Amino acid sequence: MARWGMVIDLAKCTACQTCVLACQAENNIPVATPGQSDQGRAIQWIRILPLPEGENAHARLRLLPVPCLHCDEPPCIKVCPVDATNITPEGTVRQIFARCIGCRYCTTACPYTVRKFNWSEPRWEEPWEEMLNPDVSIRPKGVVEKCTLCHHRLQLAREQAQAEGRTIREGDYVPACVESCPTEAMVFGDLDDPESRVTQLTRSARAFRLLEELGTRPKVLYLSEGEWSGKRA
Amino acid sequence: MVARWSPLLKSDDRRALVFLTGRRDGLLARLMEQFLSAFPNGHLVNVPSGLRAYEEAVHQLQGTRGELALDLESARYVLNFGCNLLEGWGAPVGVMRAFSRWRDSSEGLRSKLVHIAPRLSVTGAKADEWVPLRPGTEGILALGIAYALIAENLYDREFVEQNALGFDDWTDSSGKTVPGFRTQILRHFRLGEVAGQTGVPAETILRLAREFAANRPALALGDSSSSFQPGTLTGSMAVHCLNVLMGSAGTLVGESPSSEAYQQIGSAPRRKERGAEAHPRSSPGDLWQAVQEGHPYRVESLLLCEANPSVQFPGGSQWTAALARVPFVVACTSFFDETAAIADLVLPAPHFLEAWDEAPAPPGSPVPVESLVQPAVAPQEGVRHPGDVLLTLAKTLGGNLQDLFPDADFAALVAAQSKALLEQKRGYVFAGTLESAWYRLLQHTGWWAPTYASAEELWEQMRAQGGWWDPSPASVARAPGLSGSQKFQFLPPGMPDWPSQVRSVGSLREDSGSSAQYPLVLEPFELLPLLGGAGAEAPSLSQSLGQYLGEGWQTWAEIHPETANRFGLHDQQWAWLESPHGRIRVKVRIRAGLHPEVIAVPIGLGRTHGTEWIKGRGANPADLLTPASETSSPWPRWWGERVRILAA
Repeated sequence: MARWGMVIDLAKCTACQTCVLACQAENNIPVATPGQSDQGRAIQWIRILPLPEGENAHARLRLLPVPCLHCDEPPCIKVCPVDATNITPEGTVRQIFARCIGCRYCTTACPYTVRKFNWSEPRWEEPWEEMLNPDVSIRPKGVVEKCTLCHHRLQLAREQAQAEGRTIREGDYVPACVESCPTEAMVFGDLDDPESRVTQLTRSARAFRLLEELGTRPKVLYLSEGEWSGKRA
Repeated sequence: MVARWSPLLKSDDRRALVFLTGRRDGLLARLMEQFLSAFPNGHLVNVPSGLRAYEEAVHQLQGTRGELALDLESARYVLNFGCNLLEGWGAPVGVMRAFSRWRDSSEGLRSKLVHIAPRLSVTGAKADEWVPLRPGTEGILALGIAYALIAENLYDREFVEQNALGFDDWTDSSGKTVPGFRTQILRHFRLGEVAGQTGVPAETILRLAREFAANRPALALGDSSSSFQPGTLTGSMAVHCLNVLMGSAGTLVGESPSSEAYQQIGSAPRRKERGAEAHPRSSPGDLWQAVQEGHPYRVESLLLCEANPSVQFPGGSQWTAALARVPFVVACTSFFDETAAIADLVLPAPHFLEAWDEAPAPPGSPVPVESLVQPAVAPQEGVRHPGDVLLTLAKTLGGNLQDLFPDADFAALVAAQSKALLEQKRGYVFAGTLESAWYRLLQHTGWWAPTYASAEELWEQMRAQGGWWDPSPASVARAPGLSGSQKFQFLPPGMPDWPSQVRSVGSLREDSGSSAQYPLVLEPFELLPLLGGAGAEAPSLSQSLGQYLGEGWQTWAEIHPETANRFGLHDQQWAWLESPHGRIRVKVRIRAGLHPEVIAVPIGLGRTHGTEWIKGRGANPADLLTPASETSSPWPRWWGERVRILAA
């Protein structure tokens, strides 16, 4: 059985936000009004996290795309009183909207602040509702939502593979953010497959996990930007 | 329209018909050009590309007029003088892919990107090094680096000797010694002086020069430009001289065969190359003068198509107020925007997802491309493509126009592109990565093995795959700019003393009031989500405007901590930003990544018309500027405005 994970190469990421928009379109995430944005109630399943550092000529700005990191030891599932969030056998941290009671313990427990609460009913003006993705359910007011690694795409890929009498191959199942990345900075695949590209990238000297010291063991890893040396790699 | 435009077809009528459009190339631009050629006073005005100054600099120094082509991917070292490469500059996706290649160490050496600009933009944040400098001094710094290359003998002597004129001193016909480029640079751009003017330490300039020379092929880009803000001509010439000194001119920077299919529309003559249009184009500067003073032409009627001067031109609302005085204004637009608000007649245009169209490669593309735009959804009732409007008018207006165009609609003209492409006997239909690599290999070895045998097959394949391209990256290397008897001219005859003008570019607008009254310099910048100002119509993009600051929906002003202290401002408070030409309300955001003399404001919001998502949100920094063009060039001038900031 696969263990799905992702590597984001920060050296190649241009912070263009294509992943953010692709996720929004793929997963039926409504646009927040300016008022909702001001209240911090805009929902994004992946966002660009700015990390400014230094001053004057030494000022730097690091920009990290942060989806749900699908931890192997996710703190969010331990605090859910109704088992509305749990981890699948393939390692994806899922959210079961019909069970969620909106207590928001999970949003507090998540150290990466990637879980979002629906403060209002989702709204799409006519004719925007025509672009809704029929494979993804719309979340009602009062529940928590987050990145599912485009789980509906996995179901479609699995059905396709079964119809063809085979197992899922690398590339059959790719989340929308990874598919849309113009610089191919995001790589997705089976972390248990030693031959997969994503596994090979996790062995890079540049690989790191966010807040690794917390022991959450995220399955979304990063490759640091590295530095120009002027020498051959 | 027929009643208003028919009289303008008469040769004795001195009143002008003007089209202002964001389409610079491609089928619709050619159609407009040829339509206007039937009018004795027809003028096509384009919203200039951000690469316009750089392209003109290449033309001036190489003496050619071809289409600018940049081979970014092959560069091992890039000195970027203020171009917002990752924020919509040039061919945006192509630039991002080149950036990805620079960072792909699996292929060997990682390329270095140095971003030289007063503001740490997203491009600066993603660069390997950010070098802040005083606003408006990019050209001076480029010549300071040229000084170091020459003084330390780091430049490509062989290339310069064989391909360039004007480097060494020469004697004119009167026997007088004329100082060449080398002498002018060594005399006027000593490192200490350049460091004083730019604020960049001399040791940094020297290090950049040494790195630039040691890591070839090396490329210099600039000066400051974004998707529709051209930099300065002399600054761009200074930057391009670095490419010549490194031997990159003609290889990394060159001219490609045109991406256009040269389809003949009716009996109108074919365009041979860009810069030699069938009908000469007018500039925004000329249009401004024309609507203000009735000179060089008197505008009787104006068609606005995919252009919004209230956002895309300095002066913003001054432009719309002036254009509203034109006797008959027609707006072809998909949204009820500022152009529709001033129009006597609004022609609803289809969204690009609703129509057949063609999209040629953006400026700077290294390869010729013809992308096909196909309808994905049924059009809303009552919309008509601007091309169809012109074709219908041509038939109705009669005379020369009737003979000029065939009896066809715009979609048929798009489909007929395949016939013109077939005649070129080159290129391939879009393909996957593997096939594309194979086509490149074939091209390099002199083979052309198309997957189609007829125009019909080519059309079907283009519909399935999305377009056509000529995959040969060698199109840049084959650039005619430095071939044969043509040579690069450091000091072109029309501008023999341009290096001395670079020094004056650093001085800011004289009409902007004193530096005591307006102590800061405005840096209007573009954001990728609002590319060309058009993205504001999509709420998902307005929501994501400035994620690096957690901003969206409103206009903010980025200010250095020391400057904020000096003016008693704190983060997130509201303030008035004032210039001699206007004032806007902005939210103060304090950022360390900024030169203390600069205040930076995003362009694209502050719209007075549009959907409920954009109308009345934020402020328009174009209103702080004057519509007058740069003295030495015909394109709008965004840089160098002096401003002050006061708590609201």
